[in-house]
Parts: sequence; C-alpha cells; structure tokens
Amino acid sequence: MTFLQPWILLALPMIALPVIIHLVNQRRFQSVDWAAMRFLLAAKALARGYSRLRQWLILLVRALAVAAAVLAISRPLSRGWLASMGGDQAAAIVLLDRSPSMSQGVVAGGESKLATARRQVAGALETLGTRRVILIDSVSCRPLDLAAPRALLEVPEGEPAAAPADLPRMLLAACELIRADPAVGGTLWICSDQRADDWKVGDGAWPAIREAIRAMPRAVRVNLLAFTDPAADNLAVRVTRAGYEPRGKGWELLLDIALRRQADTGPQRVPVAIDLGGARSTVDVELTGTEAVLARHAIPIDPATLASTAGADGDPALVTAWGRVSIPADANPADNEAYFTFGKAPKRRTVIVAENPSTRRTLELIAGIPPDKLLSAAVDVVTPEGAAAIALDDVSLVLWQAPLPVGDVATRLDAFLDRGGQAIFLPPDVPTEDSYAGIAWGAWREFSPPRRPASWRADEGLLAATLAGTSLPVGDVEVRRVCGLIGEGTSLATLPEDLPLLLRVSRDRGGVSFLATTPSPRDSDLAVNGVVLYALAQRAIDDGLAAVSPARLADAGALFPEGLSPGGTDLSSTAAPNDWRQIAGPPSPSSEAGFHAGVLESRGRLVAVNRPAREDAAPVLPDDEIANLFQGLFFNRFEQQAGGLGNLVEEVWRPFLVALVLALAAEGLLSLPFKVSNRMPFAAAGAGRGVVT
Amino acid sequence: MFPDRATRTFLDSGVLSRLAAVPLLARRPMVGGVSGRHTSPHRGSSVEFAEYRKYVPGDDLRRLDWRVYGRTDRNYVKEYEADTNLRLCLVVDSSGSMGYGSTGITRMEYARRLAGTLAFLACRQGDAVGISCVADGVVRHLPPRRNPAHLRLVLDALEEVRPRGASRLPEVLHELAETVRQRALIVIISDLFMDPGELAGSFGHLRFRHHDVACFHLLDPQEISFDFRRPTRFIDMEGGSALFADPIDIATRYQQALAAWLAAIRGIVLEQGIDHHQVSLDEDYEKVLARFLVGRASGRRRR
Repeated sequence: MTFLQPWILLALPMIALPVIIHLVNQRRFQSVDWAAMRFLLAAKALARGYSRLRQWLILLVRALAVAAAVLAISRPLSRGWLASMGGDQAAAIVLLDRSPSMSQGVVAGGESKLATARRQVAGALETLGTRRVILIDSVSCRPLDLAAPRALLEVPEGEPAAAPADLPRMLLAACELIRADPAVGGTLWICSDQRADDWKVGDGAWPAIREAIRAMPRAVRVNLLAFTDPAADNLAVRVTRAGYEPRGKGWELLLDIALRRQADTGPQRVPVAIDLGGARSTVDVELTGTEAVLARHAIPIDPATLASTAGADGDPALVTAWGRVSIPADANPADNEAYFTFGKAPKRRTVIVAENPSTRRTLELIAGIPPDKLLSAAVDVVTPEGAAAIALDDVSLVLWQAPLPVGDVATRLDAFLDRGGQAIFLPPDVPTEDSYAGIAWGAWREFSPPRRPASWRADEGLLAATLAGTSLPVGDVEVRRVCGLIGEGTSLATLPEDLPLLLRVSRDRGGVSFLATTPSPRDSDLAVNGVVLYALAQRAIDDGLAAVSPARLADAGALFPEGLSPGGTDLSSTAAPNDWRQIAGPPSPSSEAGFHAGVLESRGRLVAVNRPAREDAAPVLPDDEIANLFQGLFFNRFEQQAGGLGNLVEEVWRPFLVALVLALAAEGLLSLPFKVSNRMPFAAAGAGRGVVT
Repeated sequence: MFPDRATRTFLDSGVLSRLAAVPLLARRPMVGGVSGRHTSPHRGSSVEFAEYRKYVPGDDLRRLDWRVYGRTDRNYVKEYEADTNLRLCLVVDSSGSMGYGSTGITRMEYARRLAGTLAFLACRQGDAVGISCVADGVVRHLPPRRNPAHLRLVLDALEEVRPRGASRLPEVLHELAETVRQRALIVIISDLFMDPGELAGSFGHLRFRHHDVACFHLLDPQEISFDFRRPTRFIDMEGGSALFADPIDIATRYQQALAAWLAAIRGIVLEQGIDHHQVSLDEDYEKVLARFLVGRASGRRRR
C-alpha cells in the first residue's frame, strides 16, 4: 500500500500510546484503607479472567483506533503498491495503443478500451501526484510531453487511429527517452489489448528492450493495463477489392466485401450499406461461421456522375472515385466502416534489362501477358548499355539480368524503388564484383543432377500460396546452375545446402529481390514450368502497380516510410510534399494522415486508408507470454475492462475512518463499568434501611 | 448525671430527651431481680390481670377469687402479670474494620452513639446495662448493673475503645451466650464482615439461651456503591494483605459478592428471629434508634 503523505506514517509508533498511558495510569494508583476486603477478594477472584481479557481488548481497540487515524491521515491508495516498488512519482511514461481494436467497448456506444485506459491512467497519475507525463502513442512512436496527467484526455495523440500498434518500437522509443533523460524513467504505463499483432512477440527487439530496461541506472517499473475482454458479437467489414468494368453500354462497380466476427453465434443477416457519390444502397449479407465474403458485388454506375469525385478529364474510363461501406453500430465502431477507391487500372508496364537473349525472351513473355483480359500490359526491353536512358515514371517492375547497376543508373533505380517500384535481379552471364542494395553476385555453380528447392516461404512474399490456399509448384522447379549471392537478405526460397534461390532485400519502400538463376534452359526449367516465374513477375508487378495506380487501397500506417514525418511525405515521386489531403473519413490531425481511416487525394489520385486486415483477426496474447516478455523486470499486469467505473488508483482513507469510529465505539462499550445500581445490595437484601426483621 | 465529665461527644442531650419518650422494651419476657417495666415469665403482683388458674394446695389463700368461688363453687386463683427489670448487654465490635467511614463519621463513632444512647435510655428506666467490646477477643467487658455509676463506666469504656485488630465476634457471642446466665437483651453493633455461617451459629446459640438479640448492622455508603474511579490499592484495616485493583474491572463482581452476602445475612436473621437493622452511616442515628424503639414497643404484648 502506498500513501500520498507517507511521512505521517512516522507517527505509527503512537499505537503504543494507549499501552503507555495504561501503564502510567497503573502507576498513579491511590491507596485507601478498606474494611470490606472479603468482597474485594471475591470480586477479584471472580473477575480475573474476564477482566484481563477486557483490559487487553480495550488496549487493542485503542491501538487500532490510533493506527486507523494515522493511516487515514496518511491518505492510503488502493493498489498503491504499484508505485511503492521503488522509484518516485515525479514522472511517468504512458505507452498508448491506439489501434482500432482498442476502440472496442462493452456495448455499442459505450466507453471504449482506449478511453477507459486514458481515463484510468490520467486519474491514477493525478492521484499519485505525478508532475511530468510523457505520452508515446502507437502512431508517431515519439514522446510527447504533457503539461498534466489530465491532458492525456485531451490531446489528439490519444484518440483512436486505424493503424496497428508496434509495441516493441514504442518501448524502444521509451528506452531511448529514459536513456537520454533518466529523470523521466521510473514507471512505464502500457495501455493495450494484448493483440499478438501489436506485440510482435517474435520481434528481435524484445531482448534488447529487456536488456535496456534492466541496464537503466534507476529501476523501471512496467505497469500493463490489459483490456483483453473480447466482444463476441462484434462485426468487422472491409473491402478487399474494388474496380469497375464496362457492362453493356454502362459501367459496373465490382466490390469484394468481407465480413468477419469474433465468434460463431449462428446465422446472421447483416445489412451492409454502400455509400457511393452521395447515393446509398444496402445489401444483406448472410453470415454463417465467422467469415463471409460478398464477391464481385456489382453496382451499376454512371462515371459521368462520379466525375466530380476526382476529375476524369471527360473520359469515363479514367474516372477515379471513392466510396464507403458500413454496417450497423456494434461494440467496436472502428471496424464498422471501410473506405474504397476505384478507377481504371493503369497499364502494367515492365522494363526488362537483359543480356541473354533467351532469358530476355522468356522475361518478355511472362511480363507482357496480363492476368486478366481487361488489363493491359507493356514491356520495354533495353540492353544493359541503354539502361541509362530508360524512363521509369510509370513503370511497375524492372527485371534486370545483367551486371548490377552502378553510378547514375543505380541512382535512378534507387529513386524508382523509393517511390514504391519493384525490381528483380537475375544473375548475369559473367558476374562482376559490383553490388547493389548490399548484394553482389558470386560465382556460378552447376548441379548435376539438377536440384530442387528445399524450402520456400509459402505464407508471404512473392512465392506465397494463392488466395485459394494452393501453393505454387516451387518444389517442382529444377535448377541446374545457380549463382552465388553475397550479402544479407531474407531468403524466400533455398536450395539444399542452404543455397539461396530467391533473396529479398529489406527496404523502407519498394521491393528488391534477387533470383539466383535464370529461366535459360541451361540454368533452370523456370521457363518450361513457367507458373512459378509468371506468378513471381506478376505479383511483383502488382506490388509496383500500387505506386502508380490512381486509385488504391492501403493499410493504415503502411503508407509512409519510417522516420519521415507522415504529413510531409508524399506517396509518389511526382506529387509535391504536403500535397495529400483527406477528402473522406472522420476528421483527424493532418500530421497523422495515413494512420486514420479515410480517403486521401492528391492530383486526381486516391488512396483509401483502412485498418489492416490482420487487425480484425489478431488473437490476444496469453498472459504468460506477456509475462515472459518482461521477465526479470518489475512488471505488473492489471486486467481492466472497457467502461470500468473504478479508478486504477484511488484514495481509500474512508475505510480507515470507519475503522477508527468502530474502534472508538468498541472501546466505549468495553470501557463501560457495567455498574449495578448503588441501591442494589439493599434491594437484594430486601430490607431497606433499618427494617426490623 | 455526669458530674465529673460535662459532655460525651457521642451523646446528644437533645436526642436523649426526645428518645426518652419511647421506652426501651424487650420483645421477650425478661428475668430480672427487681420490679421493672418488662414482662416476666413468672406471675407476679402487678395490677395487670393475667389469667385464672385452678387452686392447688400450697397456693396463697389470699389470692383465691371468692367471687368466682361463689358463682361456680370452685376454687380459682387470680393471677397477675409480673414486671421486672431488663439486662441490656451491648456487644460493640471494635475490630479494625469499624474504623472505616467515608461520610465524615467512622463506623466506631456511629456505634458509640448508638450504644451510648441505648445505655443511657436503659439506665434511665432502671434497667441494668453492661458492655462487651469485641475485636480478636473481648477487649473490654462490663457486666450489666443497674446503678448510674455503672453507666459512667460503660460510657467510659465506649469512649476509650479503639478499632483495632481482627474480629472474632462469633466466638465472643458464643461465650456471652454461656456467661450471661439470665435472659437479657443483647444488642450487637457491628459491620458483620465475617462468615455468615459462623454468625448463624452464634445467633442460634444466643436464641437458644432465650436472649432477645438485636443487631445494628453498620455499612458505609461507599462500601455499597463502590464508586472508585482510579486504580486503587486497598489496605485491609484488619491487618490482612493489601489488594491492588482497577475498580472499573471489579465493580460488578464486587456488587454481586456484596449482594450475595447481604442476602445470606438476611436469611440468617430471618431464620434466627434477630431484630436486624441494616444501617447506612449517612443515616441519622436518632431516626435509627427511634425506629428501633418504636418497633419494640409495638411488640410489647408478646410473651
């Protein structure tokens, strides 16, 4: 238990005061000559046990009364031991998980987990008298000095966002802050709903975080306010795909709408409202199980009426527009809406730089055939010598089978990648020592008989399984010759002996992959069994297309590279800084554009920002896993509930005051002499005074 | 009456004169040596008719009632009540506990007033007065005598006696029962702080000897109320060991023990027919004595 005025506890030895007074009183006895000793002796013998007990009871309740008074004046706090385990209450760092799942309440319209967490932490810090509060929210991951704990309820950095949280990153920011200014360290308050997606248990930063906290000059306590209570009847809606196609003489908007709920509570008909250009339509979706997808829901549209949405230059085929789907209110308002944009898909433009004619031809084929007949593709083939002159403005993918670029070409490629372009490098006939993105080609190595990939990442990346769950036939690919890769990267496919076949280099934006063989028959049968190479190239084109598409869907928080101010960053190399503005969605600070659900627009290009799909399904981490993350640290976890009325820390002097009153009352009762009437002996004698018998 | 000593502190002439109007009478027939105001167990020659009795040879012929003989032809003797004098034995407890008093007067002083006044009244109506002062034995003993000079000795004894030592009243009462040969009025003035069983035996012994026993049971108001507040060291006035106690703790038990003891005393006096008077020291002794004398006068006719 902690006390707001702990120095008053120094008066606790005063509980011995009743005993001391009793002993002093015993010493202050009077002496009288007494005749009726026989009654005294009898009374003393009769009352010995009870008298002794009563005496001790009186002393006990008096001591209790003094103790209760001292404790009440010391202003005790409930759960105060939170703060009593070392450290002071001068400053506290609050790590706020603003992810959409924290917007969940117990009932529709009730207080959300995030609001409850803010209220409880603000109340607790205020009660504890914390003078300095630093907020690290999950959107910016930057410390924000608050004037007072109460400001936690008012700052926009505490409002819910659509982006998921990254707890390791927030904790690293906190560690940096404490390391820079140890005075702010002491207590870390983490408010989160323990979603596995936010906590990233497998993140390599966790050991570093533990070590950093342990190495702090002052003990740092970590208090976790966990809001893990689920909402079984909560529904989430999202648009997985939006596009429009000509139908007869008109056009049709095609939407893929996905519904998801936490638990299967039986068949349910969900009315899904679709807002499009001011018009609203509703479609009922039958939901059985936990998920339902309304695929290719067609809505006839007139592009002319949508022209005002985002400037079409008079050509209906070039219209880009946005819309919104929503479901009735439930426990979590953050997943009841989803925004979408649509427009004509841009041309799938690929640049191929290849020195081997056979390889060049194969690459030209796989990049030039679009996966849908409605889509169009274009391939520009240049020789390595002509690479310096290629235009990359509307290119989605660069396939490079030549010595790695250097100089101006490399700089241009960097710019291309920075705006979100994709590049796949294949080994040249004669490897050089040049390197790009930290990777250089090694020596060729031949296999006889050919080898097949031993393992590959089927869960994500370019070789991931299809949406239907069918995995690509990567294991059937025969590799006869492989070129060594020198450098660090994430291996997406490996041959026996841990030889990398496909390596992806991590970048903030854009994608760079290295394929260690070519589709040339001398090197592999990628050309013969073309599915793998085709999927590889088309997926890379899809990824690169997002950067040049006039209308796209994006996950909140994934739009902007780390370390750059979201508001000052552009989505493409062609747009000027700060050119993006929000045209739909709940109002949000411009500094957090891209982290809130809504639609952003810049120069006729639209981006619909929604919460990531994993936010709807992220499981809650078990408590023991959370405890493992903070193993060896001062860690306390408090299970809370959204809308909980109780305060985290509150003064509890009232019970002590009641105890004081009760103790005084008990003392009064015990101290009553229980005297019999003075006349009783005469009455008992029945004679009265001087009655003659 | 007291030429050599003008005043006795425990005698009040006003009280004496007022109480002189009420005679001190015995509740039972007394056997005295001379004629007096008290009934005798024997027939005598007073003017108060008692009964007719058949003549038997040897009776004095002068006492034959000739009128009855004339009417019935039978010889009857007319008998009259005999009045005799009284022997008043005052038994004053002079043990240490008699020195207690919280109202400005000690129990001993109160006893002096009661005993002195009774002695005076008895002597004034011609009765013999004696006194026995009792502590752990008979401290002072004067046998009953009728002459006024003896009264002075009795009052001297009362004045000189001091409360001291333990009380052995029951044993002394047994002794008195044996030594007072003829019927007497024995007035005991004591706090009776002793075993009720022993008291019962001694009272029974006195009654067996046909003595008329009266008892003034003196109690101090504080002994009854026991209203001490502070822890107190109680020193036994009869020489026993001292006792330390917090009165708040033991008051209730004290009252219970006192009540039980008083009930026992009451049972004894009822059983033995003792003229028992429980007296609080804050009472006016004149009223106590008046009550005592009037009560006896109303029982005059019992023989």
